[in-house]
Parts: sequence; structure tokens; C-alpha cells
Amino acid sequence: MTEPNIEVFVCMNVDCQSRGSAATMARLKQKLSECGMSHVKPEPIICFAACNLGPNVVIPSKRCWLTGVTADDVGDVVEYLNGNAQISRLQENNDPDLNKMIFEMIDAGLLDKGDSA
Amino acid sequence: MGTILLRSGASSADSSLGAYLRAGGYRAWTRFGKTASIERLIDFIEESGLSGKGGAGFPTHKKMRLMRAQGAERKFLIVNGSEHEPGSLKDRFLLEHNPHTVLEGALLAAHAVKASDVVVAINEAAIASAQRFQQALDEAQSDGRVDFSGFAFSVRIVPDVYIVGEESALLEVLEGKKPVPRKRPPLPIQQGLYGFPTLIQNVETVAHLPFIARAGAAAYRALGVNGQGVTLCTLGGEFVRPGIYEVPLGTPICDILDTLGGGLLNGARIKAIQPGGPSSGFLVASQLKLPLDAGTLMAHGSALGCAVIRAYSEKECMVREIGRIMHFFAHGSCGQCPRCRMETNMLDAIMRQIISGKGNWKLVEQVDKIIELAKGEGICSLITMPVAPVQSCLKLFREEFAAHIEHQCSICAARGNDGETEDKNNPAQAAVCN
Repeated sequence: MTEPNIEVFVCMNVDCQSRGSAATMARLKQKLSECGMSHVKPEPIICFAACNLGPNVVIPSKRCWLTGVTADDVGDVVEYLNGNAQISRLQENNDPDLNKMIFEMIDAGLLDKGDSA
Repeated sequence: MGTILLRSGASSADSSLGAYLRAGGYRAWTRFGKTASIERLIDFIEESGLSGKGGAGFPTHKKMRLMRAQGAERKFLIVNGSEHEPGSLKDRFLLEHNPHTVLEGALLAAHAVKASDVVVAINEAAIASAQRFQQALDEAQSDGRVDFSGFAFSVRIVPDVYIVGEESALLEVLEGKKPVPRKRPPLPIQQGLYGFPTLIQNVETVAHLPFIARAGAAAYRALGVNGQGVTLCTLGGEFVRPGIYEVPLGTPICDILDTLGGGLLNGARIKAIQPGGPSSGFLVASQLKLPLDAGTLMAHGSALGCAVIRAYSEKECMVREIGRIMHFFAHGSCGQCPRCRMETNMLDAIMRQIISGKGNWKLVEQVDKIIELAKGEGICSLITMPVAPVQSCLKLFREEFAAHIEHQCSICAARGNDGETEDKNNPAQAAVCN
């Protein structure tokens, strides 16, 4: 049976990049490829103003926002996607208001594909 | 109608020093530079009601008094001609066609606040203005009839980047750094260029000073319909007669659009305007009899800004137009403040979703939440700039958003699938007000 696609959004904006999000994204793509997890789609995400907590990663289907995700954390993220790891250590600093807004925006369709960008 | 800033027949007028002196130019400077009290000059400015013409509208005399109170061995006056507001051309026009009025105004302002160094910052996109102003400066300094003793003038070219219009970002650029706004305090008046107290005044603002100093506050106020003097307005290429006009404050907006601008070039009726550039709230056709002045516009959710008036015809889709404006601010944000970056990018993304037919009302509802989350969180005013246009657009043109959400925008359909095709079939002039 084909697994449903899972989108994993990594913030690639200036601040998150300065904190290493490009390395996080690269390691994520590499790890997913090594694990044969082609159903997981890494994508860049719009800035959600959580810059001081970055690099930020959002997994909408799991309603999961992760902060401070470095390349070294990618193994745990992939394990979490496989249902084999707890990820709460990467959520300890989440701002509740921002958390609410992020998922309201996503639920409203902000990240839906096919915009004219 | 006589003007104080625009010579009649400005395009052909003689802007030389000789012509300016023959017309009574530099008399105010001779009077206040040599004999009259500086306090009296600032009193005149206060009584005139002059406020900054760069967009913020801060009372000019207050800034001057604050600056004058600064004790320092060296002070700067920056005459801000960076003019980054899209569509605005008034400052570069003054620098090119009436440079001695700007120069005399700069001398008066520098003298009033005891600034020894005057820097005139001009946008790199207005190079003809910069060249002409430099010529006028050289001419006046070498002629001997105008007293420049005690002042060091320089002309500096600044990049054509939106954020450079912000005062402290301009200071950074003039110091050779990246255009990023500074945290406040300290204010530029306390610690500005190279750390010295610095007064930053818009080109047009200083250009009003010679008349006020020469003719007095009452004469200046009497130029306005409502006793508030005059302002320069820029009308864009969408008008039959685009250009820069000196307008008595309090003039009905429709007179400016119709009598001066001649209505819209495409022959359509005006659906809405922004009277003060892209950061001002929209006004609809039924509001165009309002007088053009800062107080009235603010009371109606808009702003005078630098009085660059953008008109939107009935043939334009307001969803696409607000989309362009949101994209402009997302692009214009320096990215320094996370909440500003978030706000401007999200508003841009929401509008793109709606324009592309992927929008819904839930997404529209996020607009106010995003704005609330960004409130008070930016170093400079750019974070507030998208607010009035997007909120007024959503309020005034809700049916156009509904049409987009339901894939039934008749305006976009009439203009072609991309909504961008201009209708050039009807160049006839259209009346604005009726």
C-alpha cells in the first residue's frame, strides 16, 4: 500500500538560514533518501516570526512545530515521522500564540500548492 | 493660481541664481541669517502649521526646537530627497526645477537649529535632479551674493531602495552601511549622522520655509482653503494630465483629480484612490468630495502621506491591486524584525492565494490576526504600512474578494485570464465627480 504524502516544511528565511536551516534541509533530504521515504516531501516555508527559535520545522499533518532543529536533530525528526521517537525536546520553547496562529494559517490554506508565487 | 513652490510654466522656467534673486529669492535668508531672531523664525514656522511633507507629517517646528535644544559641537541637517514612495516625483522636481528655493530653505533650517553641516540626499534614480542641484549649489557658493559662511554643504546619492526613505536607514546608508533602520532611542536628533545630533527634513518641507520666512505665517496659511497652507501632489500616469501640482490644503479631492488631473486616461470612472501612496487607506468614489488635508484623511482611515495620489478605475480589480501592494511591502521589508517579515510575507502570501483562486474566507479572516500579532513589534514604521490599505480594501471591496474566492471576478475575466491586459480602447477623458 502506498503511504500518504507527508509535507515537512523547513524555514529557509534569512534568520533561520543564519542558524543553520540550509544544513537541516540538506540533511533531511539526504536522510529521507537513504531511508527510502519518498512519501515525505521537504519544502521551504514562509517565515512565521519565530526566528529567535529557529531553525523552524513544521509538519502540518502531525500538527507539529519544531524549533531549533539542527542537522544533528534530523535523525530524531525522521524517527518521529516513522512513529519511533518522541520529539518533545524540540517543542519546549514553542510560543503558544504563535503555535495557534501557525496551524490556523495552515488550516486556512496558506501553504496550499498552486499559488501564483 | 499662483504658486510658491512651482514656478509658473515650470518646465521652461529659468532656474538660475540670477532669476531666483530677481524674483526676491534669498531675501528671507539675508534677513534671518543676518538680523532677525532665530526664535522668531521658528515661531513663524509654528504659526504656519507646516508639517513634514515626506509622509509622517510631524510638525516641523517641534523637530526644530528639539534639535535646537541639543548641545553639541557639531550638528547635521539632512535634506531628505531620497523620495522612495512609489510614484512620488515632487522632491526630485523641486531639486531640478527650483533648486534655489530648496537651498534657501536648507540655509534657513540649518541656521534655525544651529547645524553647521548640510547633507542633501538624493535618490540615484533622480540623477538629473542631483546634477542640477549640485550645479545650483556650486553657482550660489561661488557667486558671492549668497552668504554660505559657517555652513558645509554636500550632495550625496543614495540607493533606490524603499527602506532608505526611513530616516535611520538613510543615516546608515550615509555612513556607508547597509540600509537597515536603527533602534530608537536614541532619536536621530539626539544621535544621528556619525553620532552627532541630526535633523532630517524632507526636500519639500524645507522648500516651504523661504515663503514662510519672507511673507509670514498668516500669508502662508491663507494659501490653503482651510488655513493650512499648501502641499505638492503627484498625479501618476493613469491621469490625462499627470504631473506635480501645488494644491491648497482643503481642496476637494475631486477637484484635484478632475480639474488638475483631467480624469483617467482610460476613460473609466474612478472607483477608489489612495491619497498618500501605497500605505494609505483607500477612499471610494463617494468620498472624493472630502477636502484634501491630513486631519480629514486620517478621520476617514486614510493618510496624506507625501500626497502621491493613485487612482483606481472601475476597470481595475482591487484584489489584484492590493496583492501588488502587499507584495511591494513584503519586498520592501528589510527583514530585520521577525514580526515585520512574518506580517508582510503572510499578507503577500494570502493575497497571492486569493488571486490564484486558492483563497477562502478562513484565509481572509487571518489578516486581522496577523496584523494584531505584529502590532508594536517593529523597529520602524514599515510594519504598520500594509495595515490601512489591506484593512480598508477588505472593508470597501468585500464583494470583489468574494468574486475571487468564487472564481467569478468579472473584471479579471474582462481583462484577460491574467487580469493584466490593459483596456486601451477608450482613451476618452472621463469626469471624476458626479
